[in-house]
Parts: sequence; C-alpha cells; structure tokens
Amino acid sequence: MTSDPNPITVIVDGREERGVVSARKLLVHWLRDTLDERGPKIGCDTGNCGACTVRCDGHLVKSCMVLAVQADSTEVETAAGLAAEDGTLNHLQSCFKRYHALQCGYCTSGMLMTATDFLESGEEVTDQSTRRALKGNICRCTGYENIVRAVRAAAGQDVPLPHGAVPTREGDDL
Amino acid sequence: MTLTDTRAAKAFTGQAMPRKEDDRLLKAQGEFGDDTPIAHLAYVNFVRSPYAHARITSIDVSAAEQVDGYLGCLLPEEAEALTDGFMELQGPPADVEVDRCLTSLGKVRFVGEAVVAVAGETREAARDAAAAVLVEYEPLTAVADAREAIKHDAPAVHDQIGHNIAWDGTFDYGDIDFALDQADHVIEADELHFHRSSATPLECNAITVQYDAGVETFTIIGGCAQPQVTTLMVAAALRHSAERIRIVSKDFGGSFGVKIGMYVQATALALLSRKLGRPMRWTETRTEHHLTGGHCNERWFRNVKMAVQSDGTVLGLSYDALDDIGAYTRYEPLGAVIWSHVTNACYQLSHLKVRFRTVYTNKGPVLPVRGYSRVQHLWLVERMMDIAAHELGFDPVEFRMHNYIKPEQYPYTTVNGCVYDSGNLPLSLSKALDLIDYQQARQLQAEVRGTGKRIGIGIGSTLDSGTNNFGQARIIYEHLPFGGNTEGGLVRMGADGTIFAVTGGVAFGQGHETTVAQVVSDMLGVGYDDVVVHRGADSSLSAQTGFSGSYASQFAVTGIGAIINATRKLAREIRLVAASVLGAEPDDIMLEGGFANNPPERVLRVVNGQDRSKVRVTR
Ligand code: FES
Ligand code: FES
Repeated sequence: MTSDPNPITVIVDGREERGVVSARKLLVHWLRDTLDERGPKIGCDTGNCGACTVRCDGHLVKSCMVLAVQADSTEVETAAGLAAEDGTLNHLQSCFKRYHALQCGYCTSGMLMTATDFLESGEEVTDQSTRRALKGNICRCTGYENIVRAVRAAAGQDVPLPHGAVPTREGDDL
Repeated sequence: MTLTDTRAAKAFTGQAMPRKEDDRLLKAQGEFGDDTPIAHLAYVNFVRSPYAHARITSIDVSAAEQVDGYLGCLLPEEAEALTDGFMELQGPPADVEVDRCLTSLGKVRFVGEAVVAVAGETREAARDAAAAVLVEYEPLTAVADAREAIKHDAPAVHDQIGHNIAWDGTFDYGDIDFALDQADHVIEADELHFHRSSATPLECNAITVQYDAGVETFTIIGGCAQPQVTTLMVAAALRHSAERIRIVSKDFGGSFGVKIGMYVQATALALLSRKLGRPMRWTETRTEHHLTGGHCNERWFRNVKMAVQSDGTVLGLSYDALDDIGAYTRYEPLGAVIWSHVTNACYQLSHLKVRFRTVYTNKGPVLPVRGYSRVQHLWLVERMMDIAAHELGFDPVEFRMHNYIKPEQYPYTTVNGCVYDSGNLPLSLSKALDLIDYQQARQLQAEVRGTGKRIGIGIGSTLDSGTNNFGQARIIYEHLPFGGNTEGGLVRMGADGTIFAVTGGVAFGQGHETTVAQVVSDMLGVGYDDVVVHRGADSSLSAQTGFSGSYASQFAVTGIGAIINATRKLAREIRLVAASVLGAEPDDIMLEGGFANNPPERVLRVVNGQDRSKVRVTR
C-alpha cells in the first residue's frame, strides 16, 4: 500500500533487518511499529525530549528526527542491545538500577543511549559535563539528580548512594 | 489516633530493595501504551478545532476518502446518535452540559477540541486523511478569562446552561466576620492568580481499542489511571455493559493525574473499532497533549483577607475563588471541595470562609493534576503568610513557626472538622533551613544588597491528604450515586507455591510491584523473589473495585491496605492447611523463612521456589 516503496537494510542491535518504507516514514516509527523495537520511545515527536535517542553509525540521533530511508545501510544501536545476551545488565544499566535513576522508565532508554555515548566520548566526566551531555533528554519523574549520579558512578566516580541504600546487598548487580 | 512505629524487624518492608520493575525497563522490555503489538492495527487521527469558540457550519470528508489508506471516520452527528453524554458531577443548572468524545451541539468550545476522528491503515494515512477533512466554522466571541466569564453579558460556553458558572458555593467555618472585625490587623490582597499548567508526563496518551464482536467486548489498552470509573464512563456513554469492557494498562510513562481523562478518546476509538471492524490506536502528539491533555486548575483568588494579631497569631482567612476549568467539567467541579481536605494548610486557623465558583471558559478542560485543588489553596495560604509577615515586619520563618500546628496538638481538628493525624511541621522546616544553611543564605543576601546582584529566598510549607473520600462529592451535588472509597487486592498461592499479588491500582513510576512484594513477603515469611506482582492493571484479572486506581495518593493507604487484608486471608489458609498436615493448631503455626513452622521441630515448606528437592514435611 506504500506508493513510494523504498527498500532499506539496517543492522539493528546487530541483526540485519530489511524493510520497504515510504520516503516519509520516520525511523522511530519503523523501529517501533515494524520491528517492535521498544528502545526508542516517543515523547514529543519534535526533537525535544530525547526519549527516542538511538545511535546510528556511532552518532547519537533522535530517531523521530531521522527518516527510515536515511538509516538505510547503517548500523543502529538501541537500548535493547545494551544488556549481555543472557540478559545481565551492563555496568551503566546496573548503576541506573542502583542509584534509582529511573521511576516510570519512559525516558530511560534515551538516557542510557546518551549516557553510553557520553561515557565513550572520552570527555572528562564531571557533574557539569554530565548534565550538559544529558541536556537533550527530558525526565519528568526523577528530577535528574540520580541519573547524573548513576552516570558518574558508571564512570567510576565515588558518588553517594541514594537515601536508605546499603552499600551492597543481594540482588545488586555491582 | 496514635501512630506506632511499625518499622522494626522487617526483612523487606522499609529496606531499600532493588526494584522489581527496573530490569525490564532498563532493557527496553517494558510495554508502554504504544508498545503493545496488535495484529491488523489501524491508526486514528483527530481533526481538531483551530478556534476557541465557533459554530460548525459544515464538515466535508470527501477529500479524505480519496486518501490512499483511508478507512473511515467518526463524525459528531454519529457520536451524538450512538453515545450518551458522559456523566456530569454537577447538579442543576449546569448538569445540562453535554460532553461527548467529539464535540457536540454544533459548536467547538476550545482550541484543539476533537471534531472528527479519522482512521487510516497507517499513521501517515490517518494523518493525511485528517488533514484533508474540510470543516467550516463561524467564529464566535470566546471567553478566556474566568473573571470575564462570570459577567452577565459574557458569551456562554454551553448555550443551554446560559451562563458560565458550573458550581457556586460557600464554605463558612468559624466566624470570619467577627475575626476580621476584632483582629489587630487585616492583611488584604485584591487578586492573586494561580496560573494554568500542564502535567506533561513524558509518555503522552496512547490508547488502543479492540472490539471483539463474538463476545461484544471492547478491550481498551494503554495507560488508564482510574480503570473502574473509566469503565463506567465508557460503558454509560456507549450504552454497553460495563462487564463487556476490559481495560489493560501495563507500563506507563507517567500520569500525574491526567491519564484519568482518557475515557474521552477511548470512547471515540471504541466506536471506530466497532464500526470498521479493526483495532484502533491513537498515539497522542505532544502538541495535542498540551492543547487538550488536561491542564491543572487555574484559580483566581479575589478579595483575600487575613486576620492577624499584633503578636503574629493568624486568626483566619477569607477569599473568593474563581476556578477556571476550561470548556468541560469532566472531573470537575470536584476541585471545588477537594481543597477542603487541607483547609488549615499548616496553620492553627480558627476561621475560614471561601466562596468558590467553578467557571467555564473557552480553554482546554482541566483534569485532576497532581496536588489537585489542594495545591492552589496551600499556595494561597503560603502567599498570604509571606505578605502578612512582610507587612507586619515578622521574619517569614518565625511567623510560620509561631502559627504552625504544634507536634503536641495532634490529632488536630481543622476548622471544617477534618483530622490531621500526625506530623512535625516545625521540625520539617528546621531541617529544610539547615539544608540550605538559612542563616548563611540570609547573610549572603544582605551582603550583596546594593551591588546590583539580588538573592531571593522563598519559604513554602505544605502538607497533603493521602487517599480520598468521594463522600465529599455530595457537597457538590447531594444526589450523586457514589461516596466513600474502595480498593481491591488479590493475593494467592499458585499450584507450585509461588505467591501472586495484584492491586486494583496501576503504577506509573511509583514502584508498586516492589512495594507490594515487600509487604506480602514479610507477612507470609517468604522471600522477596517468591512474590510475583502483576504489572499494571487488567480489569478482567485484578481485584478491582469501583474506585480502583492510582490517584489522590491512594496506594500507600488504600492500595496497600487491601493487599494487607488479602495477605492475611491467605496466611490464615496456609496456617489451616499446615496445621492439618502437621497435626497442630493453626494459631501455633509460624510463617517464616519459606516454611510453616510448628515449633519446636515440625515444618512444612510453603514456597517451593525452583528447588523441589527441598519440599519436605517433617512430622
Ligand atoms: S520523541 Fe524524539 S525527541 Fe522526543
Ligand atoms: S523516569 Fe519517568 S520520565 Fe524519566
């Protein structure tokens, strides 16, 4: 039923995906509606909230601002690809869990992708640089403080645990 | 009522546990409103009014019909024929308001109001087809200010009501006239404004409705904060049995109160799904959310008077409130009474008089946004405390400390007979002041004075009610067919010994799965991981009652209360079974460590977990 069929091939979290999309189809809609990829979320569809953040050929992008055809022949990484194959959380995800950096979890995938990119960028990790790195991602629940702490903890910094948390206990992945 | 400290010696309750929700959310394995995969799904887009107030002169969908992928549409006249207006809470005369899933009676009443619902094979087709619908309007004078809306010559938002007052009442406690007359000082403010705002959960509304013709059942999928009331609203509007409406909410990305209002769009989707024989999904855009998503109550406080003694004692307060609720009442005019949970705010007032009017304007309808209606009153009281302290030369902290309800005064009865059960307001403020080093902040403020730099220091104190009592709704309208409050909890043991729990409410970030597991595992003496808590709500599965849902800070009181009572019943049954197997008295059975113990040596394993080798009965 697509009047302008465009075949695309995209590596999504390491899997090759082929599809036929209309030229106007947004990458976020293709990932979500066609592939059932739940990493990118839609919070604004205007490039403001960062919930749809993924990496495309190593570049951090808001997938509501990218057409699916633009992603042809690229490699897309979503938050669904962060954990180990057996489901174990990666270090950043574990820090998010430990520092209570999520509540509803709707911003979380985007936050994780932005933070992943930031931590891999080699930029010096400080409270300020972390906040600047996350400025394109909105969270309506947490008030950001614990997200910033989680990212800094993931960078190996000594960050105070959330109120009431005990240093180690069963169930923590750290 | 006295509070006992129940925190001692619990394995899980009161401990900082890893949240049960986190792993799936961190791994993008949650299921939010727009995530649920549905076969043969179609998409809906709404044609919305660009006018705040206008008469609809014609609607032409012929161009939409030409759009590739167009499936059909729902027009206002169809909605009028197929549905009844949503239930109104106000009594006469404003009960003749008509509110439907699409605009009705030939008018639009706010910018963004849905006029036509259009269905398409794809999101793009639905959007294109909606854009091709031609609606002709004859603009009418709009009223966007509650102060104008109450004037006799103001245009009526609902013609059949004839004016814009949805509710008008006076709350008069103590004797404010006497207090104002006798007080050493009367502090006055002509007008204070609590502005409109949006709750903006990061996930907008995302609703899918599937109609199963075989069993005549609508399944509504997506974030719904008040499932049973929603069921009743949709059922009555559709003239359909409530038992043939199922609401399923899994993960949801915030609500802050506004996802109580999703029954409006769900009704339009239900009609389309039945008519076109396909499941329908509507994913709200952020722009739509800002236009229509349920704003917070905008309130004008006029003619505010506070009676204060020379020693700083506040005697009482009076004001006129105009609550601008936009074009439809929906959850309103409940806001006219909900503020009265906290009449005294944090203070020992003895007199309070409020005239409250709920006013229609040509703006987006409000919904019970977090802090609903209390926050407006609490803000007003705090503003007046500051204004009074300033005018009378008191330090704002000292002035508050002087007037706070004191720890030894609990249980404290407010002017309208409500009871504040416990608290320590002076200590709370002292702690907050310590955290910002108040003395130093004041010093800094003084030091920079005159340098062109200015430092502002604001003090605000607040308290809030937990859970709800719909009995108050009868202050609004005595014939309303409901009152009180209820919540359900279901706790059962599966065939393999796993404990399963579900509340009637939903969670949008609060971590209910974690909290329920903490409480249940402690009560049954099993492990945290032995308790499986159902995510979200499913009206065909969870123990829902008429007022089930997550709103009005219900969970910690009513939600957990229901779970505790259900767990007690299960514990009783486990004791009965264990007692008969072990040949003991039920009351002598202790539930601990996953076992039902009859000391000193007889044990029955309660929770198998995965390790069946440990199943044993020792007699
Ligand atoms: S949905 Fe893409 S930035 Fe908000
Ligand atoms: S956790 Fe809810 S939006 Fe960030």
